[in-house]
Amino acid sequence: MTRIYDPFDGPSQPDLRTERYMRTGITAPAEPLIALLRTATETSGPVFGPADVGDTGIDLTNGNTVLGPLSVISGQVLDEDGRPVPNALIEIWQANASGKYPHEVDSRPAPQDPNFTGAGRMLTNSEGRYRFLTIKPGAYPVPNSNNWWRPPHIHFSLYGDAFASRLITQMYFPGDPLNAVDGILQAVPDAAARTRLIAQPDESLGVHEHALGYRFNIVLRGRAETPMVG
Amino acid sequence: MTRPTAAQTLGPFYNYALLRDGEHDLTQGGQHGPAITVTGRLYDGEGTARRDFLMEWWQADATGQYATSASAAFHGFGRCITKPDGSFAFKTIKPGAVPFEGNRWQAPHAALGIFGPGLMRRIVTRVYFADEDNTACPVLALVPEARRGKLIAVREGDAAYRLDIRMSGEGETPFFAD
Repeated sequence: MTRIYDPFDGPSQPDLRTERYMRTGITAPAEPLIALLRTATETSGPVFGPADVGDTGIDLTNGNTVLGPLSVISGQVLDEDGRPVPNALIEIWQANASGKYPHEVDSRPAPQDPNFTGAGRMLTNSEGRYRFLTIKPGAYPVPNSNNWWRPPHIHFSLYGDAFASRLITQMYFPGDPLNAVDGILQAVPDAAARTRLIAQPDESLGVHEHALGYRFNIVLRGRAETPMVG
Repeated sequence: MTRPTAAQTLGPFYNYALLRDGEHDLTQGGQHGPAITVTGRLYDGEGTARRDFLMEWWQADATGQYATSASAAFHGFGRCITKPDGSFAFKTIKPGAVPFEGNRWQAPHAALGIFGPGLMRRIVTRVYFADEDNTACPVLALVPEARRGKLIAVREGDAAYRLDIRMSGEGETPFFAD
């Protein structure tokens, strides 16, 4: 089956230059991007197995007591035709309940949570499903930004079936007032595409009297070639 | 049909989650060809070397075939995060020429995906090799002739190649639409 990987452009993807974020003007190319044919290089991609998942796992609390509202984040990874993408490597990372990352560059004087790992990794199952146990992270201020605070969010990294289906994105939480003023979420021009970055509450995914449940489905680039008609 | 989920920036705080030891070394699972290194530095549009950019390397094996299973002898994929001085290094093998439509061949190359703080989504480029015949590569031919050299890693002694990446401005690396 021939697969199609359309170029990333248009209003459902963020502009490479945005006004607010980290001086994108000095990292975004000034020259026009060169239209690339999809060759064997772009339509193939790395394949991962259980050995690549290692010890990181799906429980960001490691079974410990952690600060913040325990939350199950779960969903399905699909292609553009709505077909599940099995065996996709998902890696997530996030701040703790006080908006602090376990990273040397995060110098803000907010407390670390030694019981919270802040990172998860798994492969989607045969139905393209994934599930992590984590917390809703805290908001945090962006340095040198006139007091712009990032809304609570979880970073997602995914490898689908091709180099062209590679995706790094962020998941947001429903109902947070910071979503509407976030310079990164709002850099996606299309409102429906922004809405798809916001998880939906789903009680059935949570754990009774223990963890909230959120559903977050992800669509990776790739679709079947439309058969020629007539 | 549903459009793909929107990309969002990598941000600066990810390396504890994404990188494991040795991911810059594509020969970890066995060599399957003479080892080479490709090193360089990544600069922004003001000429400042930039740390914490994630670079992803994807290439064919020595016969020009891409791995299709996790148990392939040569996996073909590596990751590297730029150091505080902007430097990156991959250890790998030279890929073979890759078939292209119409009985043509792409010159040996690797695809390079770049993510970083201040990059709203991935941008992609390629790395070619100065000691290969790049003249007939149909993809390199898409790049304006005057800029092609910026995709070609130069030889720096035995089995060592160098290519700097300039994200923007003077001497900008040619990037392809992702």
